[in-house]
Order: sequence, then structure tokens, then C-alpha cells
Amino acid sequence: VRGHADAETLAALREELLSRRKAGRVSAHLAACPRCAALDAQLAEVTAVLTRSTAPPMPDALTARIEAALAAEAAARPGTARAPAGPVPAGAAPAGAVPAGAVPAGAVPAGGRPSRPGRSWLALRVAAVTAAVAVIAGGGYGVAQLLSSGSPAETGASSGAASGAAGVPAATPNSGPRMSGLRSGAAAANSMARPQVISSGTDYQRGTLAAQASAVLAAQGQAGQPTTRPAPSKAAEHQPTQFPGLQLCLDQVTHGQRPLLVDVASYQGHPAAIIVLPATSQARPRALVVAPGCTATTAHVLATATLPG
Amino acid sequence: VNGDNDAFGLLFTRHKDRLWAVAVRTLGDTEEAADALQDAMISAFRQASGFRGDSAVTTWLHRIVVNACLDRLRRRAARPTVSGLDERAMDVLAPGPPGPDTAASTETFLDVMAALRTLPPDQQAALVLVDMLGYSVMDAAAVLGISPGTVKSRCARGRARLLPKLAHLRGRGGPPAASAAPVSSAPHENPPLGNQPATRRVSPAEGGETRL
Repeated sequence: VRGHADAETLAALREELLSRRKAGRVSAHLAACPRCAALDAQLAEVTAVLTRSTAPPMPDALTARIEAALAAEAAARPGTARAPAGPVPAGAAPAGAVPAGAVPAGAVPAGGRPSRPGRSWLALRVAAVTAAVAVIAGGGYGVAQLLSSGSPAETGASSGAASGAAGVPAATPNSGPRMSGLRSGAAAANSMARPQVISSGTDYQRGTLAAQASAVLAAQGQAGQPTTRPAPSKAAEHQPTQFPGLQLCLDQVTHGQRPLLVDVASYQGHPAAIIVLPATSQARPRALVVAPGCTATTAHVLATATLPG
Repeated sequence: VNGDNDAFGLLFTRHKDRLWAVAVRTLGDTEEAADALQDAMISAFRQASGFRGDSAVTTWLHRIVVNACLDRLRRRAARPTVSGLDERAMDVLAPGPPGPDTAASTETFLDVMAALRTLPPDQQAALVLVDMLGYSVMDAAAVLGISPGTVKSRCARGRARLLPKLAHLRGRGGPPAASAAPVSSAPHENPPLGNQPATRRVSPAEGGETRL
């Protein structure tokens, strides 16, 4: 070829898309022609420009929005309530009694670096399905379980998942009691670690987080936690779609402490859960605010505050 | 597979940032990318029977997102366009944290997106994956459901078409393009994605289950 190469030919050469003969000709021409060499260098710069360009990160609000949409989708899915009965044989139920957060948290390190790439996905799958059995038995993207008050029969560790599935009507996500026991594999295994999940309807604010949490905590204490089963409140209606991963989230952020309060409410007008952790020898009680995106692997802690006293 | 709701949630959590990176670059508009990503996730969730934990699950999720974006690109192309780059794209970057590089990177992103939009959607998608996000040709081929050779040729044609449109951006981050770099027929290598650690080519160690 006597003439100059065009950009498309040079780009094809770079991707080794030309026939050997043509590649040889163009390469030879390039070596001798500054004009085509310059064009070729500009092509390399096109890739460099594309590589350099950055884009805005995913907004947290979008994460929450999609998780809510997925939760709504799950809640609307027919037959969800019986999910564990099919794929998970009854014999697998005890596996559901493993603390729900522990399994996926172990299988999916925060850094996302499983030691054995080949097998880790399978491990994740098993863990994830186990978690699904433990957390989701009621069929509401995990939170139904949080909303259903556990009767002793249903919280039996040996049959927790299976009987939970049968015992929780599909309508649970929309009719959950306002204050209910947290029932899950973890809770079944260790009832001492069962926090109360409420939905106070409070819109917590940045400046008054500690005071509001204290007030809700105090009000809740008067209500008599273990036995009270108030009527469903308006606030509870949208809980299931807001916190798909609440149980896993709790396992992660509480580090085994039993929260004094878990309030699925809002923070600065946005859906959020307020978790109050008890005092320790070193610290006073703390309130954490987590976004609906909070799961076993991503905390999404929006704010913290230390409670008075 | 039933009972996978929570597993799907985990899957989304693990991959959302990468999927977002694909969507926002393919569409060049955060609002539209948000809608596309949400549609894609709902669609993926509905197809959960195809979600079996095999090694292709990451590829599968990417493909659904890319296809959702391409659908929008094609629909957009079918509509009469008001302008190459609408005002919403400007809003995209407004809420970002202020920083020394914001103005420059905003400008670059908008310019790049405006140029990309002049390409056929198929070429855009290939360039987003390979050049912008550093995916290997093999991975991009798997995501796009085409052969590696087709990925290469779409990238090559796309780069050639972008060349005159990005003239004003070239050389901003390196030596002048006219420096007549030595050229051989050696395989083209992507430069390191040093400024995009979160979206670099994902190693098996990071993803675990696939090459993506």
C-alpha cells in the first residue's frame, strides 16, 4: 500500500484484526511515515482518555431504592412464603439455626477475597441459601421474620425454618405487629440475643438523635417488651420493603451485643434503622443509624451518637 | 430457585458498584442509569431460575444491565434528540464532592460522553467495558454475548470514530500525541487504570466466582 493508513485500519492493526499480509504492509508503512505514526499514537490516546474519565459513584439513595424495589418484588412473588419447602429439604432445617449473619459473613469477607476462587462461590451460595432459609422463611425478603412474633413452637431450633415458613402467612409483611420479637436462626439458637424490633414512626434528626433514641427507648421500656403485641401500626406496613438485610446487618454491627432497641423508622426523612447498643465498661450506650442498604457485608452506617446516661 | 431472595440481595450488594459503573458510563446520565439499573435488577430477580450460582452469574448480571442500557440507548436514538448532551447530564455531576479535580474530570466526563453518544450503541457498549472499565476482551465478549473478535472490531471502529471527536482531550494527561510513538504489531495493551481503582479489571481473587 502506497497511501496512508486511515484510523480504522490502524485501530484494527492494534487489535490484530488485520490479515498477516495486510498487517505487515501497514506496519512497514507506519515505521516510515510520521503522519500515520502520529495518527496511531492518537488512537492510543483515545483509549487513555476513555480510561481516565471518571463517573459519579452510585448514590446511596439508589442502592436503597433498588433494594426496596427488590423487596417489593419478593413480597409480591407468589408462593414466596413456601420458598424453603421446595429447594431445602426438611433435613436441612437445622442448618438454618446457624446464626444467620455468621455464615455469609464468613463466606464473604468484607474485602471480598475468598481464599479459594474456585470453590468460594459455591460456598457463598450454600451460605446465602442457608441465610435465606434462616431469615426469609416468612417470605418478605427477610424482614417478615423480624415482624412475626415467635411462638415457642415456631422458634424451636430443629424445625425453625420449615415451621416458620408454614406458620407465617403470606400477608405477614403487611400485617406485622408493631412490636415484635426478632425471630431468626440466630435468635432460635440463642434466645438471649433476641432484640426487639419496633417501628416507632420517629423521624430521627441529626442534632437530636441521642435524645430521640433515649425517648423511644424509655417509652418502649414502659410498654413491657416481652409480652406486648400492639396492633399493627401504619409505620410497620412499609418495613419489609425497607430493610431487606436487617438481620444480617444487625449481626454485623452489633458484634454480638444485644441491642437495646432496633427501630425501623427514618432519619432526616429517609428510611433508616436506629440501633441502640448497650453500655459497656468503656462506653455509654450508643445509637447507630443504618441505611436500608445495610447488610452482612456493607454497614451503611449513616450516623452515630452517644446516649446520655 | 425459590428462597433466593436474600441470596439475590447479597449478590446485588456485592456487584452494585460495578454494575452502576457500567450503567452510568453507558448512558452518561445518572437518572437514566439509575432507572436502567433498577429495571435490570428487577428483571434479573424475576429470572432467578437462571440464577444458579454457576460461574457465569456475574456475567449474567452484567449482561442484563448492559442490555437494559442498550435498550435505552436505542430508544433514545429513535427519538428526536434535543441536543447531543442534555442538561440532565450536567446535573449528574453537580452533587459530587467538590475537589480540585472536579471541574476537570466533570468536563472530561461530559466531553467523553458526548463523543461516545455519537457512536452506534454496540460500539459504545464495547468501549465502556473494555476501555473505560478495563474489562478483558474475553469478559466483555461474555457480557455482550458476542465473540472476542467482534468485541475487538467494535472497539477498533469505535476508537477510530472517536479520534477526531476527542482531539481536544488528547494529550491532557500525557505527552503530545504527535510524538510519533514507535508502533509495532504487538498486541494492544490497555494502560493501567490507575485513576479508577474501584473499577479496574476485577481479579478472580476479588470476585471469586468468575473472571469478571
